[in-house]
Amino acid sequence: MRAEDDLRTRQLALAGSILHAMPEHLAGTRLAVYRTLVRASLREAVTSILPRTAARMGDRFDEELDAFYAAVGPKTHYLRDVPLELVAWAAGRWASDASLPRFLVDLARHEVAELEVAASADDVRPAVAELVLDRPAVFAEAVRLARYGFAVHQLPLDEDDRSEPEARDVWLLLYRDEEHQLRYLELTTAAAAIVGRMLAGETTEAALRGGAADAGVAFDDALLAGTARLLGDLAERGVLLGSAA
Amino acid sequence: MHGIGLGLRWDFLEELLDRSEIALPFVEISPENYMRRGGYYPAALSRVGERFSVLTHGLTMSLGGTDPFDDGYFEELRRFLRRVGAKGHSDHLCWSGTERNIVHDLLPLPFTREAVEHTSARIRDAQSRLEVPLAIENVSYYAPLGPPEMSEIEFLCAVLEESGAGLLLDVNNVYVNAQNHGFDPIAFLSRVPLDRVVSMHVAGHHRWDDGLVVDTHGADVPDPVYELLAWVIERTGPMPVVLERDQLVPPLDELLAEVARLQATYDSALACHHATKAAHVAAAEAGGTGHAR
Repeated sequence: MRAEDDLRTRQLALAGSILHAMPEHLAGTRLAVYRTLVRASLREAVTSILPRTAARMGDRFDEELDAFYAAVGPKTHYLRDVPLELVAWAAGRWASDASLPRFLVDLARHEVAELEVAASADDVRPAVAELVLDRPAVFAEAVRLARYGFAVHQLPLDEDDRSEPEARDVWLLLYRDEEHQLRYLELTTAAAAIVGRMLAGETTEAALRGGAADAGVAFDDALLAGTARLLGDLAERGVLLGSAA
Repeated sequence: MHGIGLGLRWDFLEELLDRSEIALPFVEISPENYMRRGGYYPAALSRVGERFSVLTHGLTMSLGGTDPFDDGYFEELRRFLRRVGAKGHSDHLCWSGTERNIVHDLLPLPFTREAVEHTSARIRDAQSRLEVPLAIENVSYYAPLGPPEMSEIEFLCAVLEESGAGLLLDVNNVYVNAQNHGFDPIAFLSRVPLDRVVSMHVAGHHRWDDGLVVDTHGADVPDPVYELLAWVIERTGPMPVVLERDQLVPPLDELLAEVARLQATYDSALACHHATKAAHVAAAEAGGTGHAR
């Protein structure tokens, strides 16, 4: 065996003993200390981002962490992104588990969306001109459109709270304000359809027509007036910057 | 840049920036906490840069790892170091993941000839990807990864020799390892090539019920680590020394009081260093044969 292969084998064995079942020959040895230390720091990182999801799941949350480690484990270079990897892996699993609250996946997705928007990198943005219909719009950095089946954004921040969110279709535009604080704005279905298409890079006119069709509403003066008010509001909030120059 | 600085943590960053009366020779930051982040984070970093000199210390280079380096990470890191005007950078003599997973901890290397060659080559590769000198930090370890062919100090010296890297000497890690593996920390330090030391770390630790000493950065720096700090500074002279605190972070004023205590030890050791140096100069001028420590 080449020296590097030997080193790799040893490293894979230790990483495996940390994330998967502890092999018998390592149990009780000092190498087992790393399992305790790593799992404690990963748990701390995850629960700091998903405090309410973890609190509502109780002991089950640790079982899910174990399952995550065993199935895929963390792959990101950034410890802060491990919760995103966990939720991406667990969303389908939790959604189909009748023993968990139906709103749990939405709550977890909302908690990681808050992290993503608060910390997402400042992208290089194209030059911006006044908003016109025949060009794609330019939005500020860190804008996300989230869709939930429950009003999880209205749940109290208290980790001990066990109230249940209202079950309804929710479109939430999450963004950062000038002071870098996380904000969100609840949109109607039609507004979300239009803004979603604009965020995807369609021209404003195409987004208006397509969004109206998606939402099943008439493309009429009322829609245009309502959209103009919405886009004006988004511009005031610093979310919508204009059109690509 | 020398004296006692502070590892910057979110717990007290805002208070540190708000209190203009606080003077520190520098703060140490981890680039990974700021890389690929927008909003508050780059804004806070700019404010830090306006107030303090900055040292950078990385967490995830995985210098002893066997997975290929992440080109994107190095590109981001280079950009970051340029942005903060770093004169050097450091990371740990360890590995933190495999091609399958990154476990976000400082995992031990086997003390073998092969690991020396592998890790030294990786450090040289990492150095070639950076625009500033790279230093490696000796880590705490709780067990070697496989049967050792050499001691920890022999491993460290061999890697320093073959990689050409500088050394970020963490004297708390030396103390923790000495406690856990039963060696004399001064004997260890006596074999460290002190001319390669570019900076130092001090921190506190915890002792588990089974007697294992764990490098938690969650307690005040204990007296024996002060003694190791002084021992090194008496021999090296001026050096940036970082107080690290990651768990059970006390109020900022308590941390600053600890910085002041460390600074007093540092100043005293530095005075001793200068006195020894002056004595040697005087002896040389008088034709004496005094020997330096």
